[in-house]
Amino acid sequence: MRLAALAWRYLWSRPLASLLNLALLSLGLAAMSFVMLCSEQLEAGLRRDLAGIDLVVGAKGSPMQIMLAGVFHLDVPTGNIPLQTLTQLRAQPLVARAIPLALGDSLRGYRIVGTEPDYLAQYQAELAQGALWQQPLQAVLGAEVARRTGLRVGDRFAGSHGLGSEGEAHAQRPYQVVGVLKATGSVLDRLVLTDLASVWALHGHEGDAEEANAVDEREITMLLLSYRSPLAAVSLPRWVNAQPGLQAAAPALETARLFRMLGVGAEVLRGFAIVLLLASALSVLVGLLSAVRERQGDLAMLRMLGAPAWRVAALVSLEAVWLALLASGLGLALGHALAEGLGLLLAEQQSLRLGGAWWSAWEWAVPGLALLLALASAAWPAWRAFRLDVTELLQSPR
Amino acid sequence: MMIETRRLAYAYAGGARLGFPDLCLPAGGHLLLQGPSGCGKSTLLALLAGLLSASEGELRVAGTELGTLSARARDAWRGRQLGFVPQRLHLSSSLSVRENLAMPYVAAGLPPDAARTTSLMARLGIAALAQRRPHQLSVGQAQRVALARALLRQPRLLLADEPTANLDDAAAAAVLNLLAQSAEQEGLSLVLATHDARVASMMAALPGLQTLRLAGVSA
Repeated sequence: MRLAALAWRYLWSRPLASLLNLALLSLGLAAMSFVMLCSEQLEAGLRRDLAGIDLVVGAKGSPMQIMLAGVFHLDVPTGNIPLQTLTQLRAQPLVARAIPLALGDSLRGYRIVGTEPDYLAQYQAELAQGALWQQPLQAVLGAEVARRTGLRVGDRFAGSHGLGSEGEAHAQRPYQVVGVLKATGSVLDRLVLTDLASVWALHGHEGDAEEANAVDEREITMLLLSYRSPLAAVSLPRWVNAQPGLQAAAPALETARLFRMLGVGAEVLRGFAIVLLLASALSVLVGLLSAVRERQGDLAMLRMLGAPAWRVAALVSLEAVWLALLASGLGLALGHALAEGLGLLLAEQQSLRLGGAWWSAWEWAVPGLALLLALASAAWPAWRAFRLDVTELLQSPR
Repeated sequence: MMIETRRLAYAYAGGARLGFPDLCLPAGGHLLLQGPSGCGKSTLLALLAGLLSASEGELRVAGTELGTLSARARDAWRGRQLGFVPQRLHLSSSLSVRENLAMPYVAAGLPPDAARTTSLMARLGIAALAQRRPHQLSVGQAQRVALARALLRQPRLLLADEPTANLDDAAAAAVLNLLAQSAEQEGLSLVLATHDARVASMMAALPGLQTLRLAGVSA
């Protein structure tokens, strides 16, 4: 039997105290890693979805709502804007790329987005099967949509009106699936993409173009802009907001605001984790102190059998190290399980992408933190063991 | 010489000083330390075990001048040369008998010697108890386990502190017999510290036995 094995036996010779300490430490570490996993994934996910989009232009309303609706497809849009806006903005020398989005329908809760092929290029999306749309009412499915709905190239489906899943179906004008995208890990996975004309066709603008060429009444929902130069950040939003009915939303600013709001939640959770960890450290300290007192005879006997003082102190510390290692394993597993659980919950609402399979570069810090806490709590008990008076063994029992 | 002391004295933290008569125990000899509680038996045992340092005089045990060793070296020396059977046996209640017998090796940071452990357990008649816990042992069995623990690393000196305390005559005789027998088989010197008057008569037949009567603290 080695010292570590002996420490293990001692740990489980007081199963209740050890389990309590293990539970406290694991929960603290789990909360810590859960916060870490969630905030990293959220941030990475949001950054990926931003993908070089510098400005979102929508109908007058809340910039946050415009960004949530236009970039992340989480909120409802503020309204529609005239198609002419696209032409006007494309004419601006500061605009590198302008992508129109037309929303309105959905497929089992997944949004159908009328757009141009540039939208796919923005996310470097590639086709897994089939081809891009060539004409109205042809659709390309995001990877998750294809997986969840089971639709394949060649299948037909009817979009339902509105962004929820309860809208009335456009049963007479079904879409045909012509392509499926590879998974990108971005918002694109949750979208059905089609031509702008499809959306107009289903919402009664067909033929309007020929009849009323003078006043083009066709509308889009939003525009995603990429700047040609950083200078645009100063002048373009100002120009957009000066136009009647238009509102600019800078995703960089809005996401920073969003993170600040989410950050409060993360801080609360992190504070909770810290309280748990401190409580567990205290509990380990008390547990080890009473263990040292209980086993005074055992420890003194070890000294009598020739163990140097440091080996007896190491025995006490090793018990804490075992706790830390077990708690790190359990805590990380629980943190990932919680992230996976929250991911599944959110996936049902088709919003943010979270999962337990995400590995943070900071995860090594969890065992590090656990070891640090455990050794700090073991320091005093180990010192007591180090200073143990072995001659007590020779005193007659009182 | 197994034990050799000259003008040995120990100064307590309070200032009291305890002097010991010179002692000369040849290899193969045995020592009976007698005296009432508080006479300094425990202090002499602690000095012999290298747990305390003498304030004056010389102390050679098993050929080593203990005063010259560092604390670390004394620990290693104690593990190697000294077996100890405490009055309360201090078997770890968290561990089985076999695991308790691994303790001398754990203490030294050595891998357990399975063959030595098995043969010693067989000789002391505790082979069948390997998986028992200390609380499942009789007093006699527990004493044999504690003796096995003390003998495992083949020490040259075996200290037994009040081995007959709380035992009836028959049990006391049995323990002393076992100690004498083990001392002979292992070829080691026995040091018995006791205030029990029965021990002297029961051990009278042990060849090479010296008796040291301690009086108490002197100013």
